[in-house]
Amino acid sequence: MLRAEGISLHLPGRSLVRALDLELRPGERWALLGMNGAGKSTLLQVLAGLRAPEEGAVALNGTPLGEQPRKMIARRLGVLLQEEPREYWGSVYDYVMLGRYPHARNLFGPTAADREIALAALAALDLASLAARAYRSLSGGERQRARIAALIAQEPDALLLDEPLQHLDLAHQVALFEELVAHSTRRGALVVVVLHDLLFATRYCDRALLLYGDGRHLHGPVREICTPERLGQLYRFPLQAHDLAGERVLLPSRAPRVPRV
Amino acid sequence: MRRWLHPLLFVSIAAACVALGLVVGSVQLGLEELLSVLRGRDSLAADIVWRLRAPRVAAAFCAGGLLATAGAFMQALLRNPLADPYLFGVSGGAALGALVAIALGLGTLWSAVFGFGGAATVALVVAALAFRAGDWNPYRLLLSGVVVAAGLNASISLLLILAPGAAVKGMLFWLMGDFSHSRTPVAEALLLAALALFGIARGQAINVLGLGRMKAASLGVEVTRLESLLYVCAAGATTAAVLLGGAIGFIGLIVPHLCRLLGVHDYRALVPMSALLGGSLLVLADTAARSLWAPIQLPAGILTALIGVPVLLLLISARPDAAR
Repeated sequence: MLRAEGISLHLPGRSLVRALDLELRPGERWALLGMNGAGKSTLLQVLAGLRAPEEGAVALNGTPLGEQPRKMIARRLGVLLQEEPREYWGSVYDYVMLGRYPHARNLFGPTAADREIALAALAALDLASLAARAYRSLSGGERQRARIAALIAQEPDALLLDEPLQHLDLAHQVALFEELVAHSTRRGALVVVVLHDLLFATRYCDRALLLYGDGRHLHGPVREICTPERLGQLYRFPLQAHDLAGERVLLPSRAPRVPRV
Repeated sequence: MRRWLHPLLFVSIAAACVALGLVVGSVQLGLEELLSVLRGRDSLAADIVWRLRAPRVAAAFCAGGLLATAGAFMQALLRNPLADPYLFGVSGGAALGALVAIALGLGTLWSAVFGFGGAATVALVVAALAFRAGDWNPYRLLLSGVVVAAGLNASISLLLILAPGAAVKGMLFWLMGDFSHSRTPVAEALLLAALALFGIARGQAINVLGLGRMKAASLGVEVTRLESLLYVCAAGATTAAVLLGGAIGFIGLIVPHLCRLLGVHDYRALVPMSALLGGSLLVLADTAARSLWAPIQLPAGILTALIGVPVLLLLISARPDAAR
């Protein structure tokens, strides 16, 4: 569905990612892991066609992103950015309705189907009771859920999310990932998530991409990639695997160690 | 029902202001006389309305509407609520061009041509400064616009000091705004209608642009194209308004905010409502300007602020959350 070939990302004087080839297929759930500043968000923006890589190209369903009209891309691929606006003049419902923009066909506003889809997205993010509230009056976590609801309302086949867990409480963190899993299994959607919480990577994702921030990268099935050794190298911090009620979880060691810069 | 509340309100305000502009003046007409004139009766009143007042009211309405829509476009383009159509020095360019024509002793037609040339040059120069590597840079746009405008203002002051006394009076028209010699604004009315339609058609894209360039692009907005369109529309509307009635201040900045304070935020409504309210406000200001101290005619630009400031302050204080 989404194919990246020979992607290289540079910062002035530094290489973030070198010669990355990726094949992202429908139904897969990818965790994008790495330290702060390793290029995770930049790569996500490149995969979404919002930023041109220094080298390489990304194709969506066989056509390079640069050669497709934005509206056609937006009907199939949606992004939750790390930073989305805090200020918006309308209600939560109005905000979620903006997710229907790529599907708008006429001048006369949304159709009944658009409204239904937006309401379903609100319900999926547990926002039904807040639909009429002013977007800017929401708390940080509620606002984050409204942004995700707008992405769900966009109905993309590929969902790219940059740190979707930020500001969410425990219950809504789990509910979000259950929703994402449902999207990938029921509709065959591709899900790519930038994450810092390894539990959500190992429990809900089936593939992982590690960015080391120095040009190196590694990807493959989660159970092969997400080992204490590999992630310890990635984060430059010791990790241990624990068996908890049959689930293998990775926890940071107790011994605090300041990461080398 | 609520959908029609705002259009109805704004159309009524516009109709009331236009009617007021047609009846008030050195010869006061009653509403009945106005109605009989509108029904096509030939009389002295008809002459006054159609020959003298209607062109002036139409000119003021078009200029006000154009400035207000330009202000709405500028605020969307820069995503800055303090943006104003004169920010880029388009009005300064028009004024400087016209002033040069006046200083050279050329006729009114030439001062309009020079004014247009000045405005177009400034719009192109600022765009060239802000448009780099195939993309708009809002920060560079704002900064180069402000700098260019400051340079133009200094040049205008210099020209005013050096110009012969007789020419200065004609020059003031361009600087303060005046409708006493306006023609019937046919092209301007068409432009205003086209811009209002553009606002309705592309309003949702402009709303999405308010989420930031990257989010807007991810939702399918061709950001660079939309921003270029907004720039061209704002510069074109400002130029047309300044050539029609001079550099009238205040309308472009304040009218979109008045609309927002009245509950209109959605650009699909904000653009046409700004056109109506901007036109209404300027007709009101011009009517007051020519009748308050008659036979002295004040520049309409002074009255826009005198009427607009208290109205806006009243609305701000009535809604404590509005300033946020």
